[in-house]
Amino acid sequence: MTDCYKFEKRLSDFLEGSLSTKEKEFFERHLEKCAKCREKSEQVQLLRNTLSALPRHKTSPSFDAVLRSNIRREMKNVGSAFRLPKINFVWQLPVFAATAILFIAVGILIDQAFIRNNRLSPMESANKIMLEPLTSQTLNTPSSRKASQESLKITNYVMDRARSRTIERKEKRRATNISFQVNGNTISRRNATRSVPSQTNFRAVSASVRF
Amino acid sequence: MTKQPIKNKPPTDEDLISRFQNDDLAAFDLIVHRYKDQLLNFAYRFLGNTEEAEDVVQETFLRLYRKKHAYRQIAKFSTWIYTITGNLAKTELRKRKRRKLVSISDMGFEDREYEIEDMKADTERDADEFLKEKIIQKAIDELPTGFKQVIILRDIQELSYEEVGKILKIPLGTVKSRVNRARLKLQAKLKGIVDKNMIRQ
Repeated sequence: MTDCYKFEKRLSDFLEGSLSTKEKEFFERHLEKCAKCREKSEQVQLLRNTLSALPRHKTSPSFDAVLRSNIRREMKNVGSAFRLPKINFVWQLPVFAATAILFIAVGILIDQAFIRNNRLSPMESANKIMLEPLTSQTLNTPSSRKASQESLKITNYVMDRARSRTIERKEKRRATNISFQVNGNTISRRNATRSVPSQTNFRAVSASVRF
Repeated sequence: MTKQPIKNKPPTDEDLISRFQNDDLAAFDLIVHRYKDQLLNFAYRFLGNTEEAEDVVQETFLRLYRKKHAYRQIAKFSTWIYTITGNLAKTELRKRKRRKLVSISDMGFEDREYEIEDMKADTERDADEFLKEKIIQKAIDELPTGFKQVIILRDIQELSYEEVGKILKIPLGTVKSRVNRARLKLQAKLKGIVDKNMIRQ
């Protein structure tokens, strides 16, 4: 790396006096010998002086007035952004109401279809129905009391049916208990499906069905 | 010995912004008064166009008005507001599709008319000085954005290296290196134009 290259890299530091004493003396010695670096140094110094002496441009006389006008416009825009939309009570409100009723009706239909298709188990349906009398019991009027009594009756009926079906299923399972023998061990059907690898050969040992 | 009355110190920028954040509009007016010209000078030197520079400074103060609470007293207020102006000026530069270069030798008839009108409007300034300023501004315009920013902030706005680094979000070493290279580039472009005669004037 030549001294000229080094000097060029540190030229600004040299002109601004931020070099160490040793570095400053080194470059001063170089400038005594190198006319090219000396000229460059003088020109950069002149440029710095010229730039700092350039005329300062100012804002136009109307700047403040324009700014005030822009701020007023800004405040108007901000105000309108937070205003609630106006509802036209002549035709918009009935349309909103009709749409809301439609959605509720569709929701009820879907719910009913869901229950009818037995997606919910009897117990789940019973739980769902049980919620209804609880909400209607918040109103203490004769009609609501009658309605809650009726719905209680329905609830009890549904729950009884659910219980009896569960009992029937359990009975059937017990009745059709088939045991299997795997690798010399006798295991129940339930355990067999859990613990035995898929390709194992099963041999039903005994089966009894009770009616 | 009589005590001299303590002169009321002018409020600092940080005091003013704090008052403005508490809805003191007079503080906002003071901030505008303090910064509008220096920001205009900075934007003008960056863009080379007075109208665009004014638009940038208008937008700077509008943003200050809208987002006064965005300022936190972690950095100096001047750093913050210069950053907004610098970013807006850079955006404006990018949007500009066609640059009009002020080239004395390439000026057409219409441009010469404009040039003369401009000089007539500024009766106090020497025509020669005006033209030299235009040449220097043209040379600044032709610098890459990174060099242009640092040289304007350091040599024209006369901010410290540290502040320049904070405004541009670049390390101190990078600022110093860019300033040095920008000066060398400008010196090469303006050889023969910036000379001892010009400084004496």
